[in-house]
Amino acid sequence: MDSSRIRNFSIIAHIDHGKSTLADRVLLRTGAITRREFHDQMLDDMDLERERGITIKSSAVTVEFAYGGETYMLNMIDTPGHVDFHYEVSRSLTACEGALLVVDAAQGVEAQTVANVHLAQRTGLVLVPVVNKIDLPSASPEDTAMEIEHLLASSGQQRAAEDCIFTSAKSGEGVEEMLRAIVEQLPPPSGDADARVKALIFDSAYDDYRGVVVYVRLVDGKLNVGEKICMMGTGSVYQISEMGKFRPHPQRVQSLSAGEVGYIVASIRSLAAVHVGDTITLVNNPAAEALEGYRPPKQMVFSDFYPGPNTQFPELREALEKLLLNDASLTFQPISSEAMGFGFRCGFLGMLHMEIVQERLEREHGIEVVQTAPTVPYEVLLKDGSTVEVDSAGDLPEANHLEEIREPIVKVDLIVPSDAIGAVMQLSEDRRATYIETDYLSKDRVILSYEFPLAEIIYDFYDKLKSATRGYGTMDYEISGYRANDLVKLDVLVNNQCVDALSIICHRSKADLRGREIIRKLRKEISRHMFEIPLQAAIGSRVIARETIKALRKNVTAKCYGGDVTRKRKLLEKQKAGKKRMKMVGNVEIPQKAFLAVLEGD
Amino acid sequence: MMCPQACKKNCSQLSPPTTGALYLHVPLCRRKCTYCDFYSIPICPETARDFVTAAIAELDAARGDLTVPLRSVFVGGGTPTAMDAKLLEILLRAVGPLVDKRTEFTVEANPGTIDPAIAGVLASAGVNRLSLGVQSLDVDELRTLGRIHTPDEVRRATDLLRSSGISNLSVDLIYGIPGQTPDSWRQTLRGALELAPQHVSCYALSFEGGTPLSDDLLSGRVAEMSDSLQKGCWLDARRILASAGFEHYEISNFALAESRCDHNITYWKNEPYVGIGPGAASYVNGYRTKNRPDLPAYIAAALVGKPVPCDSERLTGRKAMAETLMLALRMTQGVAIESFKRRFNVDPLLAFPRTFARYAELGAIEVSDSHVRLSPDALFVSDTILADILAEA
Ligand SMILES: Nc1nc2c(ncn2[C@@H]2O[C@H](COP(=O)(O)OP(=O)(O)O)[C@@H](O)[C@H]2O)c(=O)[nH]1
Ligand code: SF4
Repeated sequence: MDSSRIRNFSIIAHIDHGKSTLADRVLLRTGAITRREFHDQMLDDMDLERERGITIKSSAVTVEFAYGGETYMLNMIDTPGHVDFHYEVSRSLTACEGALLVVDAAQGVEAQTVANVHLAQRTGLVLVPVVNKIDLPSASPEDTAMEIEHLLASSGQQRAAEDCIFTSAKSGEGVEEMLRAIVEQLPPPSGDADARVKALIFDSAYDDYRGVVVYVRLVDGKLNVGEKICMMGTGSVYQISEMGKFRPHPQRVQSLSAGEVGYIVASIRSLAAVHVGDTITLVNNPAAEALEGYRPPKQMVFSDFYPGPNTQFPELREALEKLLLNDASLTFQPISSEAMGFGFRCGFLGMLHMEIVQERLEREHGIEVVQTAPTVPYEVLLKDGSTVEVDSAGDLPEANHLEEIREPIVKVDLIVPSDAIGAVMQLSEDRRATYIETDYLSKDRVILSYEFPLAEIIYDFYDKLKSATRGYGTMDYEISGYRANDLVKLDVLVNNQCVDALSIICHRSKADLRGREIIRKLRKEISRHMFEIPLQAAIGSRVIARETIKALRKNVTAKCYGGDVTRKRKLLEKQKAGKKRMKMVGNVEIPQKAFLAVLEGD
Repeated sequence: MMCPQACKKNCSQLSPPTTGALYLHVPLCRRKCTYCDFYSIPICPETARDFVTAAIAELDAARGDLTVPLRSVFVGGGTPTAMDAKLLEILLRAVGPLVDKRTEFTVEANPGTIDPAIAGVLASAGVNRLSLGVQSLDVDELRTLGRIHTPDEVRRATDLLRSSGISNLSVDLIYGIPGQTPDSWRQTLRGALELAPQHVSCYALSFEGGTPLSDDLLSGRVAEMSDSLQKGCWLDARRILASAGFEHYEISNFALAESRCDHNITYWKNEPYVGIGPGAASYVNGYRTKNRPDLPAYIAAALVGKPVPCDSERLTGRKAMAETLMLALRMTQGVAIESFKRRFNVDPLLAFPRTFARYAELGAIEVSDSHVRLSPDALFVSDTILADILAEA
């Protein structure tokens, strides 16, 4: 197809503003699915996909739309919906020329809306603003349109409130107009089909039958089935065995050319071999340089996973290796700790990603792990002038070798009701944030911009924000760099043994308080043993907090009545249940919750 | 899972049943005690009659599981002696053909229910051991427990039993009662010794959910005795009873020479027994069966010759081993290594290496040539160790 009749776009929205439902509407209107198949949230709905034998998620769907006597090919590209996947979102957006900016008419602009606008702007996308859910009784479409106008103006895009398209994904109202706007307002792709091949990898998925399915946007040139391709970032070479498009069912094609979007299958066995953002070119006639913006996956949260009492180390390794097949962003490497034994240091894109991995280990592989509190990666400058990356407090070199410790800094946008500004500012100050600016979205909602140390927000900050704003606050963040700070290592001794897995890196000004807090929480989480257990927090050799867990005096079932042995056994099993995720350190049982006690907050 | 009576018998071909212990549960009481969560309901003449008929029917049906003469019979409750003497006699006579002189034949009795008629029935039915629910010899403590008897009635009851010819007495006592002090506990112990029993059980009071006493605890009307004081009470019992010649043979049980409770030892050795009555548990051919605690349903089924409603499970492999240890380690002598090996083909220490090694290091597990046992001190925190054994299964 002539690339002037192609439009590549994403739908960007804060969660629950109606992205999936609108996408389904597009499929329905363009005849890609029948009314019977029309189904809320079709793009996300795993059950539905399985039912139809599509085992890979459709992160790009191609539909045809007839308009003004021409047939247009619309490629709708899905984006991950969570801040942990910022980089992935940016790569998906790079595959587009424009995006629908969807905002819920009853909620107005929220933090992810702002973050998405910033990303789209940096990617040079043309935005079509859409106000959705206008059917809701609580909708105020005009106010929402004003907020969008304000937001776009402050991000350098001139769009009047009147330019917004009003839709109801529920009734279908406005969808036709929205499709026309895509054709009229978004530019066609500008690539050169005769230039050397450059294809952007914007997503990938693992399919049990085909191996890795790579989603690409052809920027320049033309790819044919059978050709030998090379991934420019990793240098690996494959032969294309299949190409196609999702409409939304996979449909094979022989070639893809500049401007088009589709998938490639090339006997790639592990997702880890495919990096989102990488450029595909031809082995025989390679492009001179790769597309801009590629970077290898960067893990920003690390946690050590140790096998629980009923799991063996090799089982954990095997399970992690299996997860790696369809999770390209996970990293792990074996470690050993004096207190904890053998385990793996795992790297994640963010907290959500970490939770997903832990849950998948348990659900899909029956593996229970004891995990240490998540930490961010630090850059450490040594006295000898060299720099090392440290992703666990236990690995921090001795204080006398340290020149400085740098921590990752993030730019955070908080969207909050104006009457909560005071509370949110206080919260931010407590978390060592640096204020940047305030921007009024409307008279009662503001965007507060801050720089935070990443370590201060990964854990419970979002919950705290929610309670400071009666649930209305939303946030989004983006890594902005590293900065040196007065950071120290805080050690925890349980029963006189330093438990490296409980060490943390924290700011010196907070160390005493944190130490006391950690010890107090540990005392609650570690149950009484048959002996007394001293707990201490220390910086170097200076003990800053101590408490003692008293010895257990009584834990006995006095009577085993009338031979009801089953009841007694079940009671005892209950005592132990929930302790499956615990670790023996010396002779002390440390439950999973205790490892998380070193995190801030209650 | 509903379990027809038949399933208890299914696998009897494998090993010949040598079930020598019978438990009979009488789920009837004059009045509910404040701490009690055993299955029992207030007694009335018709229910008592129907219960006895039903229990005899169930006993008849279970006859094939029992090896006669039985080694032990334990009639518990509830309060068997709350029944009218005639009814009690009918029930006990039904057991008659299953016992001989050597059978340990125990009936549990509430001191407030012993009268000459009852004492006479017990003696003439061949009952040779009485387990007396004394609990405390302090009036206020008895009131807190909601018991129907007074300390004086205890003395009268023992005199009456002795004069009727039942000389083998066991006394149940409770410590940890709200309001109880270490002093009053020691007085109860000494008072109990004056009754010249052959056997004493000392139970720590447990607050079972849903009982009036546990409600009082939750609402703060009564306070729990601290764990250290309770441990003190237990140590007092060990000391005072030891100096009176009692051997401490299980966490809560003490006996003069040759007077251990054979029936309870059957449980702790994880050997088979048959339980009759609603709420009673059986262990036959590897199946643990528990009759539903529902007297009307029990009566309805038994009277028309149907199996009584029950639930059942069968443990095998490591679970069965862990359960065996859970029971045997309650005894001060612990588990006999050879008999465990004969039963499971593995040394208990090798079967649960993690838990045993860990607690041996702490001195909580003691190993001799013949036995593995908990150290005397560890008995009072035994649940911690037993839970770990179960978790390692
Ligand atoms: N009333 C109304 N509900 C809508 C509309 N669009 C979406 N929804 C509902 O809003 C919720 C979130 O929509 P969804 O498409 O899943 O949002 P996403 O998270 O952005 O993909 C779902 O319950 C939808 O049914 C709309 O136009 N009107
Ligand atoms: S007499 Fe025994 S069974 Fe009856 S209510 Fe009191 S404690 Fe419970």
